[in-house]
Amino acid sequence: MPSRPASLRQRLGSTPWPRLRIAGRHLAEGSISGAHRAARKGSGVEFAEHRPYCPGDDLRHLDSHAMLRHGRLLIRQFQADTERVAYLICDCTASMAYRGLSETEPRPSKAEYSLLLAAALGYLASQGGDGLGLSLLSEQEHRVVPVRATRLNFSRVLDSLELADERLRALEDELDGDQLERRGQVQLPPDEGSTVRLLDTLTARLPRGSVVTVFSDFLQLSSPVERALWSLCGRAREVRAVQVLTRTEVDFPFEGSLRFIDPENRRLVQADADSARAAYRERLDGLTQPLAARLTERGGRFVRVTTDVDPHAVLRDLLSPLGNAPSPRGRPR
Amino acid sequence: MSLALPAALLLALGIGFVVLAHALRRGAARLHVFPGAHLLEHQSITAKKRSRLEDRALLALRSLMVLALALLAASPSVSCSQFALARSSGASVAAILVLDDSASMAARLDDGTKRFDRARETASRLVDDMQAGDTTAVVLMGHPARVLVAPTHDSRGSLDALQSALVTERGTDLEGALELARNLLSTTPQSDQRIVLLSDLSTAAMDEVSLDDVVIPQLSLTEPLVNCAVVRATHQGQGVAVELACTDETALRDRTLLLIDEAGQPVAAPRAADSTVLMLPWEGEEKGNKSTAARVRLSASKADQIPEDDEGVILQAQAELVLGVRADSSRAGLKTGTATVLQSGLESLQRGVFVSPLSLLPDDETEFEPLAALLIDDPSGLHPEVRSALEQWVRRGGVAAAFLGPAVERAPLGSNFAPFSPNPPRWVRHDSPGAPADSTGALGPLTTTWTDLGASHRVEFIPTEEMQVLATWTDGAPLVTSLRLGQGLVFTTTLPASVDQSDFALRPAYLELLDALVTEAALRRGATAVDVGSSIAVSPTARVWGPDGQERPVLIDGESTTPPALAHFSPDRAGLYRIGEGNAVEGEVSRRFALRLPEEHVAQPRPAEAGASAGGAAQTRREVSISRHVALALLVLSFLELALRLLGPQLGPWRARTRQLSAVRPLSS
Repeated sequence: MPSRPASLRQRLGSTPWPRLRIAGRHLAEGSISGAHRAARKGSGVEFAEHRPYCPGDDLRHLDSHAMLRHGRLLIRQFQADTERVAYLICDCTASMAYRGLSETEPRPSKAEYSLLLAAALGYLASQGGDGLGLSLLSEQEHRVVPVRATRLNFSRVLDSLELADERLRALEDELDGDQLERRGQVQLPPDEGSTVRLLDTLTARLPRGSVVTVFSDFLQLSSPVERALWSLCGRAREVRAVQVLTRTEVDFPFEGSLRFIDPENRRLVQADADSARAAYRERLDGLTQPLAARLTERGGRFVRVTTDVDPHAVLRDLLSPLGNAPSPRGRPR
Repeated sequence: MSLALPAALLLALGIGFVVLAHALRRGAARLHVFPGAHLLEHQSITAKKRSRLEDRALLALRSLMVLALALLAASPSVSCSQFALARSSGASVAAILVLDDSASMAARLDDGTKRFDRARETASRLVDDMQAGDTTAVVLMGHPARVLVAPTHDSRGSLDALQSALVTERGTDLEGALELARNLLSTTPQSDQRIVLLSDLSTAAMDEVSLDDVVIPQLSLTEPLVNCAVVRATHQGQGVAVELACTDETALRDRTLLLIDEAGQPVAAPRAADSTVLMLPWEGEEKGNKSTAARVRLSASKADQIPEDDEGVILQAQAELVLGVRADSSRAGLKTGTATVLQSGLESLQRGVFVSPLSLLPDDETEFEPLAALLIDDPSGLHPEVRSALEQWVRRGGVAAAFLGPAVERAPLGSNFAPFSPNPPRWVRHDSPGAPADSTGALGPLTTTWTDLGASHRVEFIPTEEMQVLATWTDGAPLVTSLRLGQGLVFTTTLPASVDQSDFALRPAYLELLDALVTEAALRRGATAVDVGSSIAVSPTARVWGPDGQERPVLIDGESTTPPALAHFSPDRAGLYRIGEGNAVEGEVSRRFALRLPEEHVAQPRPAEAGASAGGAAQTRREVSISRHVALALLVLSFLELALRLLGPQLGPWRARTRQLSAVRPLSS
C-alpha cells in the first residue's frame, strides 16, 4: 500500500533550512522595526533586542559582548530598523500539477517544488521578523494572505500553501490524457484579467523595498501579465521570478509521433516529437526572455530551475544578492 | 491428421477478434499530458502509436492460442505409422501373431536394425494395443513352426516372451506356422479372429499357401538382400572344402576366406573367395602345425547384410572318400586299359578318393552308406527300388551324378531317370557344336573348353525350376545341371562319358566337373551334419549344448511321460551341438553339426502386395489422439502470454512511460 504523501509542513520540517535572510538590494521602508536597513536615518535609535546573526547582516551591529558571554553570534536590533516585506506569489494552476515523465525515481511536481520553496522563504522571512504575504493564483480564484509581520501570519501562509498543495495533488489524479480529451478543448481563453488586477493591487500596496518572489512555470505568460510583473518592479521593489519546470519540459525527451494535450485548456496537438524538439525548445526559451530582460533592467531577477535540482541550493541562490542559482543544464541565464 | 469435429475449427475465426482488438488498441497515437503542448506546432500527419514489441508478440501469442483452442475443440488425431488392428463394432479380438524368426530375418536394414527386430517391435505394439477381453498368441515361423505364446489374455506376459525371442538360422515354415495359427484360433472364443503375418515373405511357399485369412502389414522389409554365408566347411585330405551361398557376385566381391583356430587366430594365409565352392589348403596337425583349424571365416563386407553367417565350423571328414562308379566298360572304357573314362578321370584328380566300380546299382539304402558319391555313366533307367534308395541316400548327404547317353532310349518299363531327369529324356540329333565360347558356367572358366564337342546326338530333357544349369549348349539346351536334394546333390549331363559319342570327357571342363563333384561329396562327408531346424532324436534324459555353450531344450515326444519314449531337439543355429548326459565337459556322448540352409541366406524378400494378391491381406492404421498435446501447448501459450503482459513494459527499446503516484519523496536528501 503506497504510503500517504508527506504534507508540506512535514517536508518543510524534515530538514533544517539554512539560516539565511531575505536580503534585498534596495532599502526597506516600513513602520515596524525590522532586520533591514531603514531608509530613514536619525538619532535616538535605541537598542531593541538581539537576534541571531544571519549571513549578510551588517557586522557593525554584531554584539561582541554577547558573543563572549553566550558564545553565539548576535546582532543588535534597533528600533530604527525597519522590516522588509517578503511577498510570495505562487502559481497554482493545473499546469503546476505536472510531474514530468517518471524515470528512475519519482520527482516532485512543479507545485510541490515551488510551494516548498515558497514555504521555506516564508519561514525565513518570519524568522527574520519580515512582513510576509502570499497570493495563490489559480483558474477559479486567487487566494491572498495579507502582509503581516507576526509569527501567526506565517502559520496562515503555511496553511494556505498546504491547502494549495493538497488541491494540486488531488488535481494530479485528473491529469489523465484520455479524460482530458473526452472533456474537450476549452473554447474560452483563460481569464488573465484577475491576475493582472491582483498584480496591480500589489504594485499599489507593497511598500518600498519589498521583495516579491513569483513561483510559476510561466508557460501561459501573456503580455498583460508580463507588463504587470514589470510594473511591480517599481518603487525599489525587487521582483524575483522563479520559473519552475520539470526536466521533461526542458529537454522534451519524447520520441515518435505522439499526441499532447494541455492540462489547462485541453488543447490537443499532434506532433512528431523528434522533429518538433528543436522548435519547442526555442519557443520555450523565447517565451520568457522578454520578461527576464525587463526584470533585470529594473533590478529584478529571472531564474529557471528544474525539479531535479536540490531546493536548498535554489534557496541559497535566491537569497544571495550576488550569487547565481543553479541553472538548468545547458541553459545560460 | 484427422479431426473428429471439423466444425469446431470455425473457432479459429476468433483470431479476427484478437486482431481487431489489437488494431483498435493501436488506433490512436499515445497521448501525453504536457503543459507545454501549446508550444508545439500541430502536424497534420496521423500520429500512430509506435508499436511496442510486446504488442506484436501478444498478438501472435493470442492468435496461436485461439488456433490451439479451435484445434483442441476439433479433437485432432494423427495416423501413426504403426500397424494396428481395426475392430468391428468394438468386439474383442483374437489375434495370432505369426513372427518370422528364420535366417533371412537377420538381415540388416538401412538403419542398422534387423528385419526381425522391426517385426518383433510391430508384434509388441499389437500386443500392447490389445484391450481387456482380447486374446493373443505368438507363433514362430522358423522351421519347424513353434508356439511361443499360447492364447492368453496376459498382454504383459506376451510382451515379455516377445522380448526374449531371438532370430535364428532356421528355414521358413510358412505352411506349418499358418496351420498352427489356425489351430490356435479354433480354440479361442472370440468371433473376430485374425492371423497377422510378420515376415519378409522370402519364401516360395507364399505362392502355395492360402493367405485369405491372413493380415500382412507393411513392414518395409523389401530392401534387396545382399549376403554371403558359409554353408559348409569340411576338412578333407589336404585342405578344407568350403561351400558358400551368395545372393550375387556383388556379395562375394573382394572378400577372402580365412582359416582360424578356436581362439579366433588365423592359422593360414587368407585366400581370395572367387568362387562359392573352393578348397583351402590345410594339412592339419599331422604335418606339424601347432594350431587346429576350427573354423572358416569370410572377410567382412559393408554390403553383407547378415554378418553372423560369415563364419562356419570345419567338419572333420572321413579319412578317404569312397566314390562308387557304375559304368559299362565296353562302352565307356579306355582304349588303353580296363578302367572306364569316369574312373580314370576321378583317379587323375589325385584327391585321395577311392573309386569303387559297381556292377549293379544298389537297391538298398544301407548299400549306399559307404559311398560319398555315385557316378553313373549312360544309365538305362532306375528301377523304383534303386530310385528310392538312391534318393534317400542323396537326401542324407550323398552326391550322385548321371552322364546320360543313348541308353535313355532303352529304359525298361517301370524305370525312369529321377532324380536326374524330371521327365523322360530323349537321345536326339542336334546341330549345336557345344557350349558357347563366351560362357562361364558355374563350373568355372574351363566350361568354355566344351565349345566343340563333335557330338552328333545328345540327351534332351526339360529341367525343372529347382535345377541349376551349370553349362549349356549353344542353343540353350542344358549340358550340365545340378539339383539340390535334401543334404545331397544330383548332377546330370546330357552326354555320356564315352569318347565314342563325343569329346565331352576329353576336355578340361570334364575334370573340372569331376573335381566339383568330389568336393561336394567331401563337404557332405564330414561329421554327422543336419540342417538347422531339423529334428535330432535324443534320449529323453539327454542334455544338449549349442554352439554358444548354452543348454538347449529337449522336447519330449508324445503326451505320455511314463516312461517318455522319444525326445528330440531342434538346432536353431549353425554350429556344433554337444549331446550328452550330465555336464557339457564330462557327459558328452555325441556331436551333431547343424548346417545353414543356403536358400534361406540368399532368398529375396517380397513386398506385402505379393502376399495380398495371393490371399487378400488387409491392414489398418492407428489413429492416435493428440488432443493432450494440443492442450499442453495451449497451457504453455497461456503462461507465455501472461509473462509477456507482466514483463512487456520492460522489454524493447520503447518503454512505456506511465505516471506513478507514489509517495512524494521529501526534498531533503
